[in-house]
Amino acid sequence: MEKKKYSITSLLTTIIFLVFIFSFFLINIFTKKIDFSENENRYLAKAPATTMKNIFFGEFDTEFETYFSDHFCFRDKWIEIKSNVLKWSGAIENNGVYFAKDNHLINQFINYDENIALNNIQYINEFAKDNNIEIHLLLVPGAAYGNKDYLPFGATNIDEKVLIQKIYSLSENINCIDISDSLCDGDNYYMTDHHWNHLGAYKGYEALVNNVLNKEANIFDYEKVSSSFYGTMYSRSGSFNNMPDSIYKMISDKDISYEINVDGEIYNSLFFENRLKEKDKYTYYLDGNHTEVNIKSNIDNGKKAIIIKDSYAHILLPYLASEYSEMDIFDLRYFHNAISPYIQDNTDIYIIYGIETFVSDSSLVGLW
Amino acid sequence: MVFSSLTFLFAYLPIVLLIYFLVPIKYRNIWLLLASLFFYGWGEPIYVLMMMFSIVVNWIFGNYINKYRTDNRKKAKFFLILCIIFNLSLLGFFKYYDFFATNLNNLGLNIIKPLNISLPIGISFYTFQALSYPIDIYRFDTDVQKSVINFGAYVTMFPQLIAGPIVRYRDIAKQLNERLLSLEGFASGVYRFVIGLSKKVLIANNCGQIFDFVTNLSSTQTSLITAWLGIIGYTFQIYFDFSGYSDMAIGLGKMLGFDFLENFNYPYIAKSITDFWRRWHMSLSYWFRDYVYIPLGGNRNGLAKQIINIMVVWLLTGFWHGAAWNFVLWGIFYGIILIIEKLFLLKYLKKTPSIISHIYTMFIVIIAWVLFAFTDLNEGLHYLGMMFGIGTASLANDISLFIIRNYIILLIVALIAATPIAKTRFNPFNNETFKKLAPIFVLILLVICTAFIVDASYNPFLYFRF
Repeated sequence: MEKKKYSITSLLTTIIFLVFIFSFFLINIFTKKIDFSENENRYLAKAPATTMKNIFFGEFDTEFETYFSDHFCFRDKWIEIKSNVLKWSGAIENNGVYFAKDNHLINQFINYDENIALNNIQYINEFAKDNNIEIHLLLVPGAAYGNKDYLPFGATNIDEKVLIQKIYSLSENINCIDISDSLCDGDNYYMTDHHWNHLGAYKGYEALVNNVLNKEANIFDYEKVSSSFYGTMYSRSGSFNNMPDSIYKMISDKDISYEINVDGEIYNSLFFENRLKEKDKYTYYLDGNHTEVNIKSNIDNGKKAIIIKDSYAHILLPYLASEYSEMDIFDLRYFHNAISPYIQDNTDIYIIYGIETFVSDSSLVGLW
Repeated sequence: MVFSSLTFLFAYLPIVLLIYFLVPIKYRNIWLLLASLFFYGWGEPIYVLMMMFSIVVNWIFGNYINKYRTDNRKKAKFFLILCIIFNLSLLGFFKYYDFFATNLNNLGLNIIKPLNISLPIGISFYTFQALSYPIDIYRFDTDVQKSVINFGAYVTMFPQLIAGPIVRYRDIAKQLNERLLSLEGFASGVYRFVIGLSKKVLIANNCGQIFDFVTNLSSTQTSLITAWLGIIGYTFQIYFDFSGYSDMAIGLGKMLGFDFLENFNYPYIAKSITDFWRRWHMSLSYWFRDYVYIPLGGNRNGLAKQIINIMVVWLLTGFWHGAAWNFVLWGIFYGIILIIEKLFLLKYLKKTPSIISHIYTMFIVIIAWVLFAFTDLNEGLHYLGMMFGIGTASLANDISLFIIRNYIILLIVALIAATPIAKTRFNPFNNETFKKLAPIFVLILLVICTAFIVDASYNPFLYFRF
């Protein structure tokens, strides 16, 4: 083989390419594997079984590829680069999250399952009818509606107020509470999470108290307990240089003590300090998702409440708890027994959901 | 394994290249064969056996055809026909058996049951590729390949194994036995590969998002413009996906010392459908031309026979793309348009201003992609309806604005990249000083592509609902 002349450019191109593929090949082999991805809140794939059976007849190939990409070196850096490239190329969204103004990252809400929405309101109607009870229904719009002023030009979402009103119009003998308008006023949502914040939740509480209990809302003070909350929208958008949110504790001017039973464990506070050390700091409120939570207070009015909810309620309940001597809280995604036995006289029954969950989660079938 | 996967880029490729360049030249084809079999067996290890069987059978047939081709044409032809039957039966069984079974069942003829066998990847490509060998020998277009290993390396060669280009044996026969490896060649292969990777990962995948987004909308959310934006996204996706894959194949081929034929020549700048098919998936068109159309008589037996030949080729082309009615319909559609052009339209197109012939061509191509994109004919027709305002809520809506706003740069880049502007002086990289920046350009694209590929596995959706 005759040696040909070559240019420096060719040499450099070749070197860059080879160094690139070989260095990540080697780094991948030698980096320590982590089990859990904080940003994705999931366990990363484990190395596939290297049995003959798995290799020849199993899913070795896909399992290996998942394992390989799950543990690819500098994974979060790559995610961030992709997000930035999209931003530089003028995109207003990544992985279904809008890059909105003033550090807001807002979930894009374009699709929902109409059948689930219709079924869910029917289940509630049936539940009310069968048990002959009044139900207070609060559907909370997400930041896509409440923070629509922050959205970049060109962003579009389903109008959640219209959607909520449509669902309410299908209700039969349900006390439906609409707070869509008031949530458009002020900063009622986290910048980096899909939940509303303590200010938004207070508006929800206020509406419930005025509407259901016919009284003025209690007054609360706030104490900042964390200033480094990076929520779900932060993770999904890959916008890893975004500003963090803060988490606030609500302090009532009344001196109320609580005993809270979380799936069988007893605590004395509605707030869970050690959750602030974790990534998902929203679980500071009521310790996050649990099947069944019971809150007893020293309020001596004998009033009880049953709450059927998704995580949107977690930040509202510390306010509402100041009105009741006992609350039973159920998450139908995990609770699969009948709720009827819990209903007694003098019990207010609330269903509190973020609208985006309400139209996509079919666990309300559990009411039926 | 696909080229645009982390496993390929950062595990398979480094190992294969390292050993390829370390082993003595005479062992390179063996290594190429082994590496390609591994590549092929990655998804379906069992089918490797079928592949090896097919290689050996074709090679033996090749030997027999070669033995008789000068002295006993009849006997040579007999072996050739056996060999063709063998190859087409494999393809027919794996790709079309279930299709026929289901359709017979639908007609009430429950003679055979669908077997639900998984399609061996790339079988449509490598069957055609393997077939070219006995036919070329029979026609004296090439010499017999003495080494079963070299022949195996040809059939399985991983760069073009699963998505082409369909390399005819005669085009590569010489290189199989002896090829020149040079730094210059390797670097141009790298460049080509990275361009192809970017076309696939950065342009095709993201344009595909537009189409997916639009097809997931509810009927109240669609509008005429949105439907067009969706199919334009698909039009770019399918071109950049396929031509990107071909670029990667050609690039990898160059790194290994092979020169494959080009597979695409800016098809979207065609001025007629006839022109389009000379630019789109050229290796398939050549194959059908050389091994079906011309043997059928081509244009030599009068216009009527020629029209029949064109229809046969296009029916087969459609059916080759997939065992489903929409592909058959897609092929027939193109067959009819091509015949119309042949009969009279081409004459007029030559006289019309080029802007009109471009619009005409792209219009037909886009309509055809609708047929291609939906395996369910009803969905396809519904989509087609929306493009003309049937079944849509409005002319344009906020969804259309969102797509334009979010993807405008991507669409502009795709539009430019689909034309040969990059080959003109408007492209700074054609300037000698800028050419020196090519390595940096390669590095930047590699980083961005890797970021997009890693991101595709990023799955933070699981807890979003909670």
